[in-house]
Formats: sequence, structure tokens, C-alpha cells
Amino acid sequence: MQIVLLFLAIVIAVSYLGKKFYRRFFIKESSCDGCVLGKTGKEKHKD
Amino acid sequence: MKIALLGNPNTGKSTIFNSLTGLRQHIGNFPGVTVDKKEGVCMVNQQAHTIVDFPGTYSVYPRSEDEKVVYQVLSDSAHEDFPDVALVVVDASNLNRNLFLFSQVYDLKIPVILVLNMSDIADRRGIRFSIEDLRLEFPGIKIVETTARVGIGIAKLKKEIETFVIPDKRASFLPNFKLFQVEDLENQCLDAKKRHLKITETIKKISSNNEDSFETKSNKLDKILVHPVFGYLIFSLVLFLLFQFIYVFASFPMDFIDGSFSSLSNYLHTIFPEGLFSDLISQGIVPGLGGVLVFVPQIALLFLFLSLLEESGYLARVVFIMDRLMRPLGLNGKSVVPLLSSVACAIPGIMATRTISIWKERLITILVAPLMSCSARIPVYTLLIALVIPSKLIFGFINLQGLVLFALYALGLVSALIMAAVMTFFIQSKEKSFLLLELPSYKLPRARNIALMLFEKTKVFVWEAGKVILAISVLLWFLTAFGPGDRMEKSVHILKQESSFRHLSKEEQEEGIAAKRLSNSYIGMIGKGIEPVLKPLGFDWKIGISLLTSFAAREVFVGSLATIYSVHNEGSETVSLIDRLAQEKRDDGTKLFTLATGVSLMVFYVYAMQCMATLAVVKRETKSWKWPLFQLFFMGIFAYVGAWITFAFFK
Repeated sequence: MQIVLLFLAIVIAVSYLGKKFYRRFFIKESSCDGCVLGKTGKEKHKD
Repeated sequence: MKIALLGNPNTGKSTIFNSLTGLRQHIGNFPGVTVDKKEGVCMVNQQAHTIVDFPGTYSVYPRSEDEKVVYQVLSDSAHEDFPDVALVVVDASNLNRNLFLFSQVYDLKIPVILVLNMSDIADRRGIRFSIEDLRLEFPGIKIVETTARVGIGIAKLKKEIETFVIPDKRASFLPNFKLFQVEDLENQCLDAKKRHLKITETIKKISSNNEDSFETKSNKLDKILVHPVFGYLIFSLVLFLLFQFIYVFASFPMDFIDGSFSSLSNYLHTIFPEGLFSDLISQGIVPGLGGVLVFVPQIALLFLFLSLLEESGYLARVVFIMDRLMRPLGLNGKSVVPLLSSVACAIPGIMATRTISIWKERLITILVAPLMSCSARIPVYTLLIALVIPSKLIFGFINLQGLVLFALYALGLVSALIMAAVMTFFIQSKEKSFLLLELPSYKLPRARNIALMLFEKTKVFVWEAGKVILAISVLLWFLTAFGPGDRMEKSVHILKQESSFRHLSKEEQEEGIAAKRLSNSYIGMIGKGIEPVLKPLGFDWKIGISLLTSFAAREVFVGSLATIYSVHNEGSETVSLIDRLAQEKRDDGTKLFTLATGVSLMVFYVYAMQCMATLAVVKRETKSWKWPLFQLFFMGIFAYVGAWITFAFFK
């Protein structure tokens, strides 16, 4: 059971980091980790 | 209905946008906070209206990247954002300048509601004018008086939106107005002259007093705060005090969080059944997250002080005095807003460069902005300062650790200015942009605004950075807990055979086994592979691994160190990260975190471009891979050489 959970945790971690990297560099919209610009979730951010 | 929010910079458009939409768009008491259009929905009497907040501009004719968006939309009635109604927000205490843009929008025959914002300031300054007379000068418009920052007039504004009827026909302010091409400066100039003359006449007609002789409190304060000598001294003092306060006030909550995470890790270790997933949580995730979250009080305090300076209007004065300092270096005050924004985070800083009209000046500002020490560096700096700088008072009142933090921020600023000067020399430009800055009135910061801004920024830091740290902690734990084949077990077996091992105490034996397992894990092998490159800087392979992972984001460095040092140390969960690092030794038995290593690492972090998100934004803003890669490369070289020299000097 613990091994299954560990495996799941690693898959989620790798997928999350991969998705983050892809969205940062290959999708136009980019948000910031340390600021509130465009972070309310309800608004549309346009170039 | 599609509503456009237009107006000069710093007239409170975003505050009105937030009040109408319920969103929390960043606001600040200085020009250029909004550099992109933002869209929200305003519900009035169960009817949804789309509101688009545009960057502030003095004219519909753009002079910089951020202003282009206004021209693009207003010049093209087929544009998807072309408004049914324009809410033109003007500063009621400065009608003369603000009516220029308003009259242009009016002449474009766009239905318009004129919002006279900051009417409290106009009242305080004794500025009186007749709204009825103003309405006669611009027939067909609606006028609403507001003091948006305290919510006065917003209900009335919503009522006006609800009952707004688009007029069939409308008069012109200047007859035969037509929107010229952006390049047609000659005709734009003629139009501007005529418009200014007519606005001056209009103001004379509607005004019932003359405020020119009235010297405001803001003006009196400015005589000191933007003084050529005192201005810089006061700014230096403000920064110095800021870092002192950060150290003094953050220590109690930091100790509390640190202690809580250590206890949590220990507690989880005792209650979970033995197994790999339990180890991942108690040795990987909890120490990794705790290592960074412990620095949240300091980051929150930095945000708090920056918000206070921004909201009060002082930051705009800093822009003004820095303009004088930056001109000899080839830049001007327009670069100051991006650089100051970068103290919180380089991303809004780089986006704020859109206000710079000359591409080369903008590029240089983008390239040097990440040198300003951002909030993500605070965990790294604070950890290293706590490790190698003694906590003592100089002259009985100056906190030495706070002073070092101040020095690191100053080093970042000075390096950014020097590099900008060097780059200006290589990247020549025939044009020069200029700083046009309206100094806003000083305002007493509003507790609600500050609290909201602080909450939002801290939440985003914890949530966004937390997710990355969590994911990296999981991977690091895996790479630290496992090695190829039976390499780890074999190395431990060989160690146990050594005669010297048997003479060690039980505790020393456990430490020896933990070190052996760690150096033969996947992470140990990668670390040992890069160690020769980092040795001249005084770093061992564990620091090297943390440097690698912190390419995702700088604060990951601390989380990574916490995870690496926590794995295989089952018996010492209650020891804080700082204590654990302080005990760390090199292979030759000497202390790892000496003054030389610590300062060398700090210098490395001042210069290194270790932020994936910043690189992505630089790529987006420069529309090329060339500049982010150049930035990564030149900052990396500076970091390496700077750390090398520092280590050699202090060693």
C-alpha cells in the first residue's frame, strides 16, 4: 500500500513540474509565484 | 454592455475596477501599476456588464508599449474590446491635465461617463468647480463624483451604469476631430495645442476659485523628501530601518513555525506505520515545506513595508529622486518602477517595463531587473545569515544580521545600476526616453487595502511556491532515499567492516551510515558529479544539489537542503535546519558553513538567475529565446566568479 502511495506521489510530482514547465515556456499566459498580478482567478488576462 | 475604464495614470482606475467587479487587481499610489488590460464582470441589478481596465495614459496616442492597447481598441470600432460606454476616470484635483484624454474620448463619439475621482483631495485643496457648467461644456455625458479608495460614490456610479442610455447624437469638444495615425506627430501636435487651449478656457469657466497659491502639505513634504541631498539620505534610512524591523519583528513567529514543523515531523514519524510513504512525509515533505514556510513572516513583513511605502505615495518620490541618479548611467526614472517592483518579485517588474517607450532602455531594464533582490531570496539570505553572521548589536542598537541583509539588497541594486551602465555602453541608442511623472498626493495608507494586499501576496507566495517545493521535495526524497542497485547497502556493509568503525560510539556509527547511504544515493551520485565545479566556491555536493533544484525557484534551495539533511537522520527530527547545517562537516572534518562559504553562497544568490518563471516572462516580453538565455548565461557567470572571489577573499 505504501509503495502504491509513494508511486502515486512521485507521478503527481513529476506531472506537476512538467506541466508547470510547459505552461511557463510554451503557453502565452504566464503567472508569477510571488506576486498578485493576474492571480484572482476570476479575471481574464490578455496580451 | 462592454465598459472601458480609461484615464490618466494613478487616477484610481484599478480601485474603481476592483470596487465594481469585486476583484483584487493590484493597485498602488504611483503611476504605471497597470500595464496590461484586465477584464472583469460588474453585476448591476442582476445584469452583467464586462469592464475592461486599461493602462493609464495621458492621450489616446501611445508613447509606450502599455499605452498602445488603448489606441488599438479605440481606433478600431470592430475590435472585440471596443466599448459601448467609456468610464473616463479623472483626478478631480487636477482637471487641467486629466480633461485632455477625456476630451479626446468624447470627440471619438464614444458614449461616456465622467468619473471625478479623488474628490476628497480636491476638497482638501480647496478646488471648487461647477459640475453643471462642466456638463454644459460636454453635452450628453453623465458625471459622477467618487472617492473610490473609501468607496464613496461607487453605488451612484453603478446606478448611472444601470440607467445609462446611449445618446443618438452628440456634440464635439473640438470640431472636426479625427484620430490620426500614431506616426503623424505633426497633426497630433496641432490637435494637442488647440485642445490644451480650449481646456484651459473651460477650466476658467467652470472654476469658482484658484488653487495655485495654495501650498499643499504634500508640497511641503516634497521639499524634504525629493531634496537632492536629504532625499537620498531619507531613502537610505527608510531601507535601513525596513531591514532592521524585518529582523526584529519576524524572529518570534519564525521560531514558532520552526518549532511547530520540527514537532510535526517528529510526531508524524511516531504515529505513522513504518514504510516508505511514511518516510516520504516525515523526512521529505514536512521538512521541505517547513524549511521555507518558516520564512513567511519575514516575507510578509517585507510586503507590508513595501505596501505602506507604495500606498502612502512615497514610492513615487523614490522614482523621482532615482531618476536623477540613473540619468548619468544611461537610464531614467522610467526604469525605477520596474526595478523597485522587482524587490517584491521580478515578474511584475519585468512587465512594468512596458511603460518604457525606447526598446533598448526597456531591454536593459529587463536584463538587470532580476538583480534586484526579490522576496524569494529572503529565505536563502536569512538562512545563510543565521548560519554565519553572529546575532549581535553594533553600537548597541544596529542588528548586525539586519545590516547584512540590507547590504545584500544594496549589492543587488548597485550591481543592477553598474550593469545597466555597462550595457548602455554596448547597446547604443540614438533615442532617449524621458520620465513624465505626476507626484501623487500623500495618503494615509488604508488598513483594509494594506491587509488585503498583504494577504493576497503572502497567500500567493505560500500557495504557488509551496506547490513547487512540495513536488521537488517528493522527487528529492526519492532520489535521496534510493540508489542504483544495491550500491547503498554494499557501501554500508563495507563501512561496517572497517576496524575504525567499530571503535565509534553508537551515535557516530549512525551518522557514518547515514552519510554513506546519502553519498551513494542517486542524489549523491549527481551531487558528486558536479562537486568539482563547485569546490572553488566552497560548496559541497549537497549545496550543489540544492543549487540545481533552486533553478525552479530560489526559495526551493532551503526546502531542498531541509529534505537532503533530514533523510537518513531518523534520530534527530527535532533539530532545526539551522542547527543541523551548523553541525555539518566536510570530508576532512572541518566545518562546512564557515563565514567564507556562507558569504560566497549569498553572493552567488545575489547574481544567479535562478527563477524559471522570470525566464519565461523575459522570453514572453522580448519575444525571443535569445535574451532569457543571455540573461541566464551572464548572470550565471557573474554569480560563479563573484562567489569564487568572495570565497577566496574570506578564506
